[in-house]
Amino acid sequence: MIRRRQFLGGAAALAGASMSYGLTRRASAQDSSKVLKFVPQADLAVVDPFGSPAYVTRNHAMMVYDTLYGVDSNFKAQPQMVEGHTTESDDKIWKMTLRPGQKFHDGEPVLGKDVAASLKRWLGQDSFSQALAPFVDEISAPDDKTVQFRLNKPFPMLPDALGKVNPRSTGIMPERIAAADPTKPITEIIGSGPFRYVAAERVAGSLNVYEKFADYIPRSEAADNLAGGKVVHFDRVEWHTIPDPATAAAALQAGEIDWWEQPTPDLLQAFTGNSDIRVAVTDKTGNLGILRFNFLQKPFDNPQIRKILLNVVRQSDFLIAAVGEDPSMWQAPVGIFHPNAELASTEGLETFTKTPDLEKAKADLIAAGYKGERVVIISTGDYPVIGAFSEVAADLFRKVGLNVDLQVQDWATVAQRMKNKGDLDSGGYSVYCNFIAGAAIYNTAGYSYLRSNADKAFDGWPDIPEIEVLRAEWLSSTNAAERPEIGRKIQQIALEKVPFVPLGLFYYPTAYRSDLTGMLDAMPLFWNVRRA
Amino acid sequence: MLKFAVRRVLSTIPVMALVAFLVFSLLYFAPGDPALLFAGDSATPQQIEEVRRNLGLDQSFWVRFGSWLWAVLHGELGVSMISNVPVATLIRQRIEPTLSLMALTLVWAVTAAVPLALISAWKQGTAIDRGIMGFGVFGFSVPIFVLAYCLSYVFAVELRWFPIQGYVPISRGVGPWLNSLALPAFALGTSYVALISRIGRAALIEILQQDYIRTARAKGAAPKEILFDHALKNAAVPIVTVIGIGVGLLIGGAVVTESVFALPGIGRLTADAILRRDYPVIQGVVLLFSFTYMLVNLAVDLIYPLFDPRIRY
Repeated sequence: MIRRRQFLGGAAALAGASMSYGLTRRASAQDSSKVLKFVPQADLAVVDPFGSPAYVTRNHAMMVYDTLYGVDSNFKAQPQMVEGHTTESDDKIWKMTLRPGQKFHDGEPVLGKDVAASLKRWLGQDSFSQALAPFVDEISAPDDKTVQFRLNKPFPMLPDALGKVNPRSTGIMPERIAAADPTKPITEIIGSGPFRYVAAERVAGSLNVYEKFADYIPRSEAADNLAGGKVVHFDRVEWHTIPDPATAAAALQAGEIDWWEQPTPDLLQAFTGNSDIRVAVTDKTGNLGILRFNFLQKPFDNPQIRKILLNVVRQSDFLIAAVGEDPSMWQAPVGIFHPNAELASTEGLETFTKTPDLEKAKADLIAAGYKGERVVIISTGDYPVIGAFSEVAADLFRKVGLNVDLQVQDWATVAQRMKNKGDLDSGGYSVYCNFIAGAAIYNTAGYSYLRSNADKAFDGWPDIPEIEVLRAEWLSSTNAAERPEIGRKIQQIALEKVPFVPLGLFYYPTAYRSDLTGMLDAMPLFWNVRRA
Repeated sequence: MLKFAVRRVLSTIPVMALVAFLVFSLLYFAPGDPALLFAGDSATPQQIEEVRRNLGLDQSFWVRFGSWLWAVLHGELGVSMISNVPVATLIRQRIEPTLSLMALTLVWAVTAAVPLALISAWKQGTAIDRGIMGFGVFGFSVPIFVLAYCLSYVFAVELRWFPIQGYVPISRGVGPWLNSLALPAFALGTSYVALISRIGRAALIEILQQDYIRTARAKGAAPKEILFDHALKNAAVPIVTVIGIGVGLLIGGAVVTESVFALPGIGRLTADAILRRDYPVIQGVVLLFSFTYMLVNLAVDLIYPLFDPRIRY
């Protein structure tokens, strides 16, 4: 029988072993210099590169899958997997030649047929490919080194579509995977990108592991966003999902993790004065705040009412509530497109900076036909930015006399309700706030919130045919000089008919250990980064 | 005894069936359509309908419940609608951290609570008793997450004795395993210590006032003998009962503790599944929790005769 002293001695030895391990662990932390520990903005729930519009899935896909083209920091498509391309028949046939020596992670060579099958699977999956699809008659592989697009009309943005940053990857995978039933998710994650996904080590909801792909041949150009040489300096990258922001902040401070993609604004001050941690805005394209009306519900089926409400929005009010008063963390006024995009215009932006006349707006709303209908704003506390936007919107709407019902729920419920076309009594809604990545608003192709094709449009279902006509004009435009004018016209109509109200651009800083260098000014990319 | 155990095991079957029915009904009638989330943002109504059909969501309640129950009876808990990983695999991946956390919490809680209850009862009305009961009030009052953050700040961030987050499997050594679980187990176990020590104290005080204890004292028995041989053994039944009931607390507490310390356990799996409306996972883990809870209660029933020979089955 165990004696009391033996028991106490054993317990003390266990406690000692545990604490002494804790102390030695600190000393051995430096041994893992070839491992990068990263905390993504959200859990990587879906590893199928086509399976989710989530940015975290996009970031995963960029590591594992290489793309034919990649946009540089000016959002110009540059060759990535291809050596180059030629066009024939008035730009209706594109022939793209693959770089030699490219391999998949299973050791098989990358061939034209793999590329054709992958792109056929992608076509129609997102708004950019949906824009491209009507132009495509055939995607084929005339030989192992070539992939060919046969179009029925010229589509000058083809390389941009293939090298886009938006979710739903254009990544290339083996034909045997790409050609499988498109209604079933991809479960075998094999690409030809600079990192190999280690599926055996995945703990769904907690850990995802990537290893450097030794057979990857980077381009010789310097890395620049998704373009250039993807040179990897870490043997292994681990994505650790840490659901609690305070725990993630503490883990970064203690050196248990190297990089936290999206620290919450309230915890940033914890890093102030800590020379071991650097806080920077690497994704300088930011995010555009969105206030979306439901066109199917009264009173927002009325364009006059939407326009009156747009005119009382002062973007800085929303941005300060969302990310604080530091003006380096936001930009206003901002229109429909990203301020750096060729389509950007300053047309009508003065409305977003002036002090609104709320009494006049109140009277105008009644004159426009507002009869006190209930306005349901659906919001969530899971994303503080969305919560803040919604609070400001609710306050503003109440001040102009709307009968506001602000309903705060978890994000999964809000995401489901956003798709509900029913009336307010059957779970429908009037308004929601959200945001969209700045990289997605450089042009009209992948811009889901701008689509205005009624019931086929994104949640909110705006019906504005003029925007659709201009979008089609832009897609087939071969004259770069005319595109800014198309952008100006789209903005003019958007500020009049209001598919949504732009709430300004804000930035998410990222936080990382200061011994990391070479981080690119882009979304989280894991090539070029090294430990000093 | 064997007959009782078999009868009790068999009696869990209708209870489990009822639990399964309730869980399924709850999720069936919950608002929201998982097909919308599953289909993604750019899905057309036709695609959403196809997803709904593929997932069997277009079937009636009884057809869906019947097929789900049939699959469960064959050991298939379904596939996660979000990650596309079988629920059984998800549970298998997550079970070790949770079992480890619960085991360590139980060990620490019982090891601390029983001596505290003994001392408190023996020194009833003294400053020591009041101090221990004060600790009990503290243990009950402080939410697990507050205690977890405080412990994490002092022992992980400042002193660096323990890691802030993560789990090390026991296969990589007892020291690292213990090191990764020490703070979560302490945080989770504190309220449990409070519960057991208070119930234990009450039971012991009652027993220490019994005639046979007075007789033992009169016969000159040593305090140690009175406490351990006479009092503790008789107070064991309510203590064991409360330990069994407390497993329910542990399951609830594990959800919070695993989230704060980023342990990849069943608690976090549950929380994530609820937030994402991942119905097959929710159903799987709730069934698992119910089954575990019933097994623990069965174990408690079977342990009673060891402490009180008057209990016969």
